[in-house]
Amino acid sequence: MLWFLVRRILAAVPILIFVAVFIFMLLHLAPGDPAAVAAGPNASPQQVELLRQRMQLDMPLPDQFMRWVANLARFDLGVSIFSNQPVSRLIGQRLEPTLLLAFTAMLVAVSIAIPAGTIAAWKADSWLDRVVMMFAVAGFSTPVFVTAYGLIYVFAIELGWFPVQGYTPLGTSILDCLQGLVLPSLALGFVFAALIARVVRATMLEILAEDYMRTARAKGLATPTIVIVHALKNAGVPTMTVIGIGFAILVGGVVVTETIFNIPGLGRLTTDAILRRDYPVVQGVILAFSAMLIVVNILVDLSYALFDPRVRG
Amino acid sequence: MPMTGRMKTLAATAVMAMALGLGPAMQGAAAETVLRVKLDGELKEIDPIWTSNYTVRDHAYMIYDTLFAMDDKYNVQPQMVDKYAVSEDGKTYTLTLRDGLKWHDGTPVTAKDCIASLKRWGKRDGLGQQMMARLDKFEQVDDRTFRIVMKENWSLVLPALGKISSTVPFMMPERLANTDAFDQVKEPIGSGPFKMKIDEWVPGSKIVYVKNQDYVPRKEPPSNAAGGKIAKVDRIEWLVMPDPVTAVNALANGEIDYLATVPPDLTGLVAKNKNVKLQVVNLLGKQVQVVPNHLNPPFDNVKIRQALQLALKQEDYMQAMFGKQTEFYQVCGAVFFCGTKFETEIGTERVLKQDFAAAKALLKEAGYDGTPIVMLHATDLPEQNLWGQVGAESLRKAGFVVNDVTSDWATVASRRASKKPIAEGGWHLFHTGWAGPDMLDPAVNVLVSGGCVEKAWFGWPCDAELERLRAAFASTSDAAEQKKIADQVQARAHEIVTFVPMGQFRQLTGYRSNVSGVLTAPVPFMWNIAKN
Repeated sequence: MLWFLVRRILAAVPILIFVAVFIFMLLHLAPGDPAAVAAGPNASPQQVELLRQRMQLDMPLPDQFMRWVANLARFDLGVSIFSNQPVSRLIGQRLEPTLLLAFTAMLVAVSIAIPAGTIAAWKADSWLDRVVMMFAVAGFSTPVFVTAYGLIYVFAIELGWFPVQGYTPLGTSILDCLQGLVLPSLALGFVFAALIARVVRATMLEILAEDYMRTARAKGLATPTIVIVHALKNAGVPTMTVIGIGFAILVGGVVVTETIFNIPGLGRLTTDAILRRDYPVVQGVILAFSAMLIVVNILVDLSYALFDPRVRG
Repeated sequence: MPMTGRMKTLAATAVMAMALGLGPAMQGAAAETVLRVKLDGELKEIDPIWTSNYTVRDHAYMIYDTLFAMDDKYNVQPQMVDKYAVSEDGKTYTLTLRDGLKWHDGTPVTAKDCIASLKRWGKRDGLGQQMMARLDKFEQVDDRTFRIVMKENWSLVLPALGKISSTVPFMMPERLANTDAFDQVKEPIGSGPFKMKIDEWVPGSKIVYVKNQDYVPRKEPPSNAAGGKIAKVDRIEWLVMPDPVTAVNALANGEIDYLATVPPDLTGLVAKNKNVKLQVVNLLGKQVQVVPNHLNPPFDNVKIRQALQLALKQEDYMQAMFGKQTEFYQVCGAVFFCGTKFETEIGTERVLKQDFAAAKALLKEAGYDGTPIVMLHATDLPEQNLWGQVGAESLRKAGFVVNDVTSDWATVASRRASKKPIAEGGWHLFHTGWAGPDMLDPAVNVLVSGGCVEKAWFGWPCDAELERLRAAFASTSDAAEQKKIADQVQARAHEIVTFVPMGQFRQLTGYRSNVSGVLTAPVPFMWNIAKN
């Protein structure tokens, strides 16, 4: 197991190097000028040019790249062109809301999807199965902002049970923090529940058709035991894979939900930085995402051992 | 056991004593008033000299103060200055600061700080650069008094020092003002009515200010940026909300107290909410402008630029933004804004009347050969996106061939700085929107500059007559003479088409009914606002 971990971590190094080079080139070759954005609308062309020189954006690209790599080697992600704040601090400020939202959304998704997918497979072709599949299609097809606005209208504005927007840090108030995460978690969880339910159903249908399942039924085992203890456990590996991918997406790519519910997450930080061409922030965040994705994949791989004894071996 | 009369008296006395004893403690523990606001934009930088961004300007008014400021008649009034004198020849200004002014770090505000601040501001601001070019020297007289000695009688010294919009000459401690003007100051230390809590700043999400207990407001009532700036709340939380629907819902739900701009298509969400008031507080508003590039053919030809004026219609732009809500906009051809002292209709014939036939005739006369007009069109900013769509359609109807180049604002901002030909990444025109205070007169309005590639704003009009008129404006303090010159500037600007004004508009501000004291001003000032 330890050697497995070491190998995976070592394999991550060339991936991160490739990501670093790729994102640097992509950013700097794309049109746009952070000096022009930073100078503001009233600045004269001369002011913009002077600012560009001061920001050293007129340096040759290889020189800029080497400076950035030299900082990276010291684990220094640099400083935002605009706010002058260390990139690591900006990421740190956004980690708690991002991870909490990802966790709660995935909790909602899994809590709905696994029972729903299991029931759908167990009662395949019945009305229950059709209801679950309709829910899956609806979840997949409905844009998250539609779900979000609908939840806000009913539960925040009309009923007043939850706030419309905002994030309260855990350290300030656990109750307020969780209350603020309910609606965004439901909005996101609905989408991922649909995805995971389909995967669970498909996998379970395959497993329930296996010979050993027929043997289990012939032995007289109760249906719940067959479905949950034997079948569902064997569906764990593909399910965990989808959950892992979903978690990675939740960490990095839910800017629409973060915008609607005003959650200061990494998605918004990235989008804002891209629109402003805040190069150090974009580079730092993309590297951080890559590292997180690698960690999530390692954890998913480790989790396979829980479901498949052959992996443990 | 039943209480005797004596016991009842003792108990009542004890209760009263407890109440009296607790009273002061309860007063001391009174909850602080927190005003939650959503202003326009996201605060990503904090140095208002380093950038001219309006969001940073709004932030800066909370924590900084100015030597002079404009009142609601746009007259310059002393602010940090207690008294001032101007020499008979008009070249020497002696300014004495008010007593008791302190920086947020507790040190006193001195003349040295103000001199350093003005020097730094003068390197970045257009009007400030003009002032520094005419400056002979600064002289410190004592800790609170200094002189500005000019080489010539320049009538714009006080208007420059009292400038209300970017770049505002905010005062900073000398140690910070000595920062190079092209680097950002590291600490937000001012002498204004609020202090920024940098430790609670989450860039792009939340900015926190607390009342400056040491601030000494002027005694006059508040008037625009002038007068007494009394902080009536203990804490302000500026929340960044990129989604306007979320912001309006948050106002309706009481999760924020003040929303600087309620989009016109969302007013219905709060119009009938008894707990929300809607009001136009920025009476000057903003203006939309189309800016042609005088360097690149065919817009190097004045007739083609005049055809541009005839092709576009202000109502089209305004209706795209406001629909049937006509009360929020006005058709206005004035380059110095309608509703101001330099408003005039001189030279606006082509600007106020769309005429496709006349535009086509001018294009033919000018020999327009169908060169595609490269129009820079930012689609990530809702207003810019609308303007681009409306503009492209109108130009095509007038006979122009349009290459509508869509991108994000950062790309537009980058490309508009290019003076190169189209084949090398140049451009022909773009849209922009300036606020009233930045367009009030020939001195501050960069869109009427004829300073060519060396000094003009993007578009680079080159006209010696315009520059002569602007210099003449700056050298007279006679109001009638200034008005006459401003009229001539407008006539000339419309003649050579430095830009095309596309309508003037205002937007609603929303705030909760338990909020009072919101000032009518072109900038969202947070002093004087109370929350019950």
